[in-house]
Amino acid sequence: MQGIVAEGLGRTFAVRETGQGLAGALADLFRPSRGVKVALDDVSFRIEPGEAVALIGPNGAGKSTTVKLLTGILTPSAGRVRVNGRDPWAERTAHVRELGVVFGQRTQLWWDLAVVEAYDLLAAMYEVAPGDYRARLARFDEVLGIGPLLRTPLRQLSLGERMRCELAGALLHAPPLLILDEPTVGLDVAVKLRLRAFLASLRDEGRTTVILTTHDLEDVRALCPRVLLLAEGHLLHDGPLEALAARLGGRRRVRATLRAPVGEAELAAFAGAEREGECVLAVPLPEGHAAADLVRALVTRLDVLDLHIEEPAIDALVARYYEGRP
Amino acid sequence: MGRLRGLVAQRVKTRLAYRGDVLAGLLSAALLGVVGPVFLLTLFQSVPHLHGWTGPEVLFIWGYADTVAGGFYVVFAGLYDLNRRYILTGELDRLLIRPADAYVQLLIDNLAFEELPVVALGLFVMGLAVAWGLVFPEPLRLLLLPVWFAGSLATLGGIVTAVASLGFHLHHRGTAVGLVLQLTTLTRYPLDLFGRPLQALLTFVLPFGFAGFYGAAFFLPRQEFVLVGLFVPVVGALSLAFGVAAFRFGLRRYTSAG
Repeated sequence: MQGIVAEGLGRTFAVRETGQGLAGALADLFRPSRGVKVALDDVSFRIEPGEAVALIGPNGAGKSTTVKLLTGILTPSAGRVRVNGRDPWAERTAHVRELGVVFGQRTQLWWDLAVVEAYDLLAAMYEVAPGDYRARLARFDEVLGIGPLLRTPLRQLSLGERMRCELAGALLHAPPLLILDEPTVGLDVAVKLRLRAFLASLRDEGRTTVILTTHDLEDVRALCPRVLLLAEGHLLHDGPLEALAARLGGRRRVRATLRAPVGEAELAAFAGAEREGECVLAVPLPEGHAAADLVRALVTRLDVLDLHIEEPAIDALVARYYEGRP
Repeated sequence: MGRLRGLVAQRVKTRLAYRGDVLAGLLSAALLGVVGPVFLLTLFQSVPHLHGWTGPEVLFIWGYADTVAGGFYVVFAGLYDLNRRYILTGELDRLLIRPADAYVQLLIDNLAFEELPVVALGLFVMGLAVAWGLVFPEPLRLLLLPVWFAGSLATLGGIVTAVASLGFHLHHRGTAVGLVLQLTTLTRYPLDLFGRPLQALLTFVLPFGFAGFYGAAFFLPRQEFVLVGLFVPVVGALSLAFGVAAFRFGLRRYTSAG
């Protein structure tokens, strides 16, 4: 069975609750209070080979837990996950052989080694043929510009330089599955664009399944036709980003600038219309209606100077949604 | 194993880059290692026997235990850091996404070649015992010395691996590794010097005795201990298997971080 299958996936963690102050610390010494935190609860999805999928959600939603279950770092508490028919934890060595991982927060290479030495090690570990190794390095240099960085020890690289090297390192063995946990966190715009362009080309080749977690919806827009939204361990949405926006109440709006202010009576004809200024109106497009119909209605009933169709502000919607959760 | 050779080579290289560490390790090993034998030599100036053990025999046991301990510091140094540096911080993730055994990677990542002088010193002390007039009942048996070293090393490494693996379950900052290792200092002496309960502890519960005294005793005249010493390779294999199993079991409970 190819692709990734998660069925009723769940993971709980035991958490220690620390008492307050010295007295609390002493009490904990003798009677540690423990609680259980549900990080992931009954999550099911399927990812086909070659898909590019983004995991989004507020902090603590279960994104990293999902990633760690997929990589074989953690065992699930409930349900099961299979990657190309394998149990990632039980068959970890075989599984990770076909997996590339980038953690944005943490390095996968070696701090003390020059980048190229780390690559040599990885190539030996994954048994990459010398010819393939050279060809891939050349390609990564071309698209990620890592050539000048190769002789430098990892600890002397800037974050942006390091992330480019990390990505190349994760792909040296041409894994069919690439998992990126917040790969763009802390990067400047130029580096972000470069990483995105590279990942997009990878996706378009169709040989690599890409799963990424991110807080930057630009990453999603640029790379992932499909989004999984997690919150408090539950999977709340599985589909395109636009569909998510629609579900969260995001609609396209027609914004009209009028020659003169209008009264309430004329406004009543347009459901949900809002005044955004003396002579400016914003009218949401009713579900199932074409924008042209609304525009026609506006132009015939009101004295319109200018018209503008606005796409829903997904970022704002998602942010509002995150904040609305208890 | 070929895939791991590169890792080992790189480890050697990175350690050599920290030349100061190597020199400091050498110096401290020499200092610590000399104090013990000097103490023994002085002691046996005034008493001919200690519970039936001669000076050269006690020195041989000391040297044997020191050699094993040195090997332990070199090979199993990663166990000191397992809890704080790998489990609590989630640094173990890095090893788990590589296609090699996580335990082997942990050891390779922390190989401490700067401790090799301890091994050399241990061997030197054993030589000193011979020079002092130690007579082996079966000199040919000495050919088995490497096997016995390995058995003792595996015993020590296995037990400490099991203890370090408790970190997977306890989520405490501290670790019992150092505390447990303190017990090994006892196995540098003939175990019959100690009370019965302590002997039993070091033989059956935490069989550190096989990492020192019993291993050396296999080559010495006292028959009752030669018999126990015969079990060193077996105890070593069992201890290591137990330790690795405890590590594997712990991995199942590993929670990563963040």
